[in-house]
Amino acid sequence: MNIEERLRRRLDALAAPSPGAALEARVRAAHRRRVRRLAAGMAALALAALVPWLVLRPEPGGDPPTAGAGPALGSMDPADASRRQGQVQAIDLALQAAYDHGASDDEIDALWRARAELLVVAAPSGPARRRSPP
Amino acid sequence: MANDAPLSTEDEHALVRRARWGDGEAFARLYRAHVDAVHALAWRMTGNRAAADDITQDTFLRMSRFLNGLRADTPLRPWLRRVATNLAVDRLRREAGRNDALPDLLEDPAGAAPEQASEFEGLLRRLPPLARTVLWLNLVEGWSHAEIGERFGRTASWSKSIASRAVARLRQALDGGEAP
Repeated sequence: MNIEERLRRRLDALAAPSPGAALEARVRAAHRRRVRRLAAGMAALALAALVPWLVLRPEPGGDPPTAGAGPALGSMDPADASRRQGQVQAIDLALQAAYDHGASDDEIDALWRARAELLVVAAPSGPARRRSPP
Repeated sequence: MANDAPLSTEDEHALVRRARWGDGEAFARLYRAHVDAVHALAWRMTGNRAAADDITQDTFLRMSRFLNGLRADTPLRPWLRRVATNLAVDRLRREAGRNDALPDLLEDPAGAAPEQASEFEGLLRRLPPLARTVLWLNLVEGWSHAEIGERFGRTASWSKSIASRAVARLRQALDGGEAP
């Protein structure tokens, strides 16, 4: 056995210290912080995606949405349908992250309301509020 | 610390997906399944407990990112080892800066006293981190000197020179401490 092989075996067999419980607690806490930042970022993206619609939505007290109030996704201009689909998906991602990291009911309700209102414009039937992750 | 229950590649990647979306238990299962291997690698490359802890943390956080180059059809352990190795090299590059001098192989002030371990381990601990890492990459990870030189922004001969001096130093301990 040559010197390199003998060295390789000795190096590979070196005892290493245990990572320890403190490191696990530290790494898991860092993961939780990353998830919170991710959820906050996604919520901000979802809201940003909704801004154009929020500006253009009907005045409160106006006629309720009906089958004719807005085009269904399938009958919309392809660019509008694609943009609307992206807005819904952004909210779905934010909702999923919110559920996974245990967001407050207020945060989750706000996202569901935004999602339902977005769909009212696009679909003939009224909003269907969901209470499980999308 | 480690949970040795084996995970299939499919299980691992399902857990990675859940961990990315914030599932702390999925993250913990992956951590416990692989932390011993990742931490040991980082410690063996750096010889430094604090550095090994930092590298381990960064490796697992990268695993939970969405864009991390981790393919769903490949086992997780080799990917984690590669990330930990690259993080150790990056750390050394930052610490070494652009000092062109080759390290003095017996001037590591953080080294442990040889009498605290076997002669081999004592000498290994007295190698500067750069020499130790170059030796590890070449002998254990199988990197060529050209690859090591490129990774450190140097040349193959730079890597070869460091490794050969480290081997010469450690050879004494091997010849005196074990049968060939």
